[in-house]
Formats: sequence, structure tokens, C-alpha cells
Amino acid sequence: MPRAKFQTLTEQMFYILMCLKNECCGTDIMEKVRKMTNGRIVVGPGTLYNLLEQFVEEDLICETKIEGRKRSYILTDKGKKLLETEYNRICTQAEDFRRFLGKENDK
Amino acid sequence: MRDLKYRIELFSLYDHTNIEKHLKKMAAKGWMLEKIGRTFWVYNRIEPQNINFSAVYYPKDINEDKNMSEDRQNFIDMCTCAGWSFVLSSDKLHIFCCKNNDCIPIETDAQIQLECIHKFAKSEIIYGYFFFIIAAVIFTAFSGYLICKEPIETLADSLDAIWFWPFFIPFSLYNIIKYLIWHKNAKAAAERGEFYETKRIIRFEVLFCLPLYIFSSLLRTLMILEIQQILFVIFLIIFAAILVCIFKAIRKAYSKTKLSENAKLFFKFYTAIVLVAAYIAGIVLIYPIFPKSSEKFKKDSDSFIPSSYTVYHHKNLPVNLEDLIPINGVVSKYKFNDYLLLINLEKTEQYSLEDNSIELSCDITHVNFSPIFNACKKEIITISEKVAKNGFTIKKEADASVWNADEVYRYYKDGEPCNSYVVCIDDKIIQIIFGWEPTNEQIAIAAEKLKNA
Repeated sequence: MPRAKFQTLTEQMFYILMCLKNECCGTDIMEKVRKMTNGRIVVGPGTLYNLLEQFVEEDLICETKIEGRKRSYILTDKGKKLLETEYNRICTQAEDFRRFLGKENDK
Repeated sequence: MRDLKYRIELFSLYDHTNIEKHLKKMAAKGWMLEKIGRTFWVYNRIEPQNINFSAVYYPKDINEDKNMSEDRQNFIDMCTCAGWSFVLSSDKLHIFCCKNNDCIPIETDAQIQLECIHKFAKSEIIYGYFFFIIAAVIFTAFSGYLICKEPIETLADSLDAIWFWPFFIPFSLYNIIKYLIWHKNAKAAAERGEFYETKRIIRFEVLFCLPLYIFSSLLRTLMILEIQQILFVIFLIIFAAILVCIFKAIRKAYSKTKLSENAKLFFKFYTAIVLVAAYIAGIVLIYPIFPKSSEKFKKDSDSFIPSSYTVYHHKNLPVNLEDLIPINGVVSKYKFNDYLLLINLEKTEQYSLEDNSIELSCDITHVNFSPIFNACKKEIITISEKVAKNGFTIKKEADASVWNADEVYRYYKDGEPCNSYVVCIDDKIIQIIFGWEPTNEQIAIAAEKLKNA
């Protein structure tokens, strides 16, 4: 069954939103994500462009300034909340993993 | 050496995987995409090289601004920053290229990519072809209704349109179904986080429907034409092909000379004009050698040239005036029409050179498709009733035995019988007008001839 939009975030969504804790333009996000994850996650420009559009539509980020064709964005409160929810979800998953499989691995 | 190449590409526009592979192959052969046209894709000559391509679908509606909108340019800028070079746009499809093999892919999320393609395909493919299907079904149904109601007039007036529209239905359906299957597979792959590797999707209408339509139209034309006319058409094609080869050879010879570009252009233009003139001259010279349509009827007289008929020897006509009345010198006119192979029409007129009042007119409708026979008969009688004014009426004759026919209708004026009949014999509906009061013997001879017509 398909997931509801942004109910859970893909890795790319998660890191893009994380980059936008501080004001950032689209082209910088690609580089930031790559550095943040040591190249494990790459966001293509097409995907990034579309996600930024969708984030703005969902009020998760907002446009802060437009310099020529360069647009900058920042995370909104709704976006922060979503990011925290996702973080908690991942933490819960990690916690569950430790509880059930961590001990076995220790043995 | 040519610097531009025109190719008819059979890609569906959402088939980005194969578009990308194809463009990469073309670049390796030394051709870079320059333009995506409605019919042709144009390629520019480059040094053969290894270039990666990406076909991307811009999600927003750009109908408001056909030029490069700021949003779209912003999108292109982002791709450029990632190392991609913009090649061209065709509506919502953007082509980018990258000489570096390590370039970040433009699309890194299969779900997002599919959403973009689907937005584009919904309007271009699903709604577009759906509209075609609706239009084609309505037109085909309406044509069917008209064929049942007024087959002769409908087939005569809108033959090409009737022939053309039904072809839209299968290819439109095929395109919609083909896209929906592709979308289903791509969606399943995207939910697994994978990009769907598209199999080659052929544009059915280009590969199948269009050639079928051209072939069937050609076949229909050839069936109508006589062997001499077919030979003439073949001659025209071969003659044109020879002249094109000559032109190509001359152009190649010019390109090897040391003339200036302008001089070469002038001579090429001059050569083209000379060859076109040669083509026209060739047609004019050769045309009289090939006999014209219905030349099986030998011409009676060259002195009489009517506007819409050609004068032919009467002895080969379906009904012969001389067989009915002993006279010398007859002018005969003959005309033949073929309507979609369902109906053939033969029109003949004959009159005596000595006495114009002795005339015989006969229109034979051959109905080759029996389900429309009654409709044809009804149409002819209805038209006859409409045309027959000033006290004319048409009534069914109780006794058709004189004609040895299935049914006979006769015209009456002010209650008096006329010498005009509508006769149904086998698959033929015949409108025959005698210029005199025919005897039963004359009718029997005419009927016998018409039965075998």
C-alpha cells in the first residue's frame, strides 16, 4: 500500500529538510547533503527541485529570498516538527533493534 | 559531408530510458541531438564521443509562457550546477548531457520521477488519446449511421474521412493501454525504491497504423485504377527516383569543386530547377503513351468533347442504344466511380447523331455489400422523389416480370406513366430513362443486358 505523503520521510527528504535548518539555496543543498553523509546519500537536481516545490506546498519550508534566479529556503515550524517526529521514529526503531537484537549481537 | 541528420524516432516521449540510451549511441557515432520535432528528430554532427544523457520531465505547466520561464531556468540552473549541460527542451521534456561518467543522476528518487512523468503523461497521453477515441468513435458511429441511411451520397462525399477516422481508435487505445501498463510497472518498481528499466516502447501509430492507412489507401487506389494507370504511377515514381539520384550525384560533384559556397548554392538551385522541368516535360511526353481510364472503350469521335464525360465507343457499354433501336451514329458517354469498394457507379448516356430526341440514360449502382442494398435503393428512390417535381411521382410496379427483375419502380407525371424506371436486378439498382416509349421486347433486351452488366 502506498504511504501517505511525508508520513514517513525518505533519506533524501530527511537530509534536505535537515540542511534547511539554516537558510540555504537549492544548489547548496546538494553539496551539503553529500558532505553530511560522506557521499552516502546524493540528491539529484531533478529530485531536489521537485521536493523543494512539494515542501513549500506542504508548508514544511518557506522561501526566504530570491536573488536573480537563486532561491533560498528555510525550515518552518511544521517542517521542524515533522523532522523531529521522523527522528523520534528512527530512534524508536534503533531502540527496538537494540532491545531485541542488540543483546544477541553482544553475545 | 552532411552536418545535419533527420530521423523519424519511434520513442514514446515517456520512454526516457531508451531515449537516453539512444542519444548516447548517436553521440558515440558523432551525432548530437539538436531538435525534437513533431515528425523528425534533428541531429548535428559532432566529434564521436562518450556522452551520458538524461531525459527529465519538468513538472510545472509551461503553457502560459512558451519561452524559458524563470522557474524552468532555475530548474536548468540546478542541473547545470550538478554538472549537466542543457541540450534542449521539447514541451515538458528536457534533455541534458554530461561528458563526465561520475555525474550525479538528475533523478535520484524513483517515486518523484514517476510523479513528474505521470503529470506530463496524463495530459499528453491519457487525456489526449482519450479525446481522439471519443472523436473517432463519434465520427465513425455517425458515418455508420449515414452509410446506413444515405450510403451513396455519404460514400461519395466523405470517403477519405470515413476511411481515416477508424484508424484512430486502435492506435489511441493501444497508446493509453501501453502507458497504463508502463505506469503500473514503474509504480511497483518505485515503491521498492527502484527505477523501472523500460523496455523499448514502439510508437504503434508510426510503425503500424500510419503504414496500414497509407497501404490500404494505396491498395484501394490501385484497385480502382486500371493496369495502364498503375504503370503510369510506377513510371512517375521511378522517374522521380532517377532524377533525385541524378540531383544527389550532381550535388556531390559540386561539393568536390573549389567553387565558393554561394556559387555551389546557385548551381544546386539551378540544377534542381532544370530537373523539375525535366520531370514535368517527361510527364507531358510520356502521358499520351499511357491510355486513360476506361480506354477499353474505344473513342467514337474526337470532335465531341463533353465537359464531364468522355466519349467512348458505345458497343462496350452496359446497355447499347443500337441494340434497342436501329439507328446509325451514336454519341456515347460513360463515367465510372468506385466508392470504397462497397458501391460502384456506372453512368451512361447515349443519343442518336441524327435525332437528339432518341436517347437512353442509364445509371447503374452496383452494391457490393448486400447489407446496404435496401438503404441504397431507398436513397435512390427518395432522391428521385425529391428531384421529380412538377407532378412527378414514383410507384412500385406490380409486375416486374417484363424486366425479369426483383423490383421495378416507374415514374408518373400527373398520373400518366413515364419512360423512366428504377430497376433492382441482383446486386444492381438501375435508373434507366428511355427517350421513347419502349416496347416489352426492347425492355426485355435492356433487362438482359443490364443483368449481365
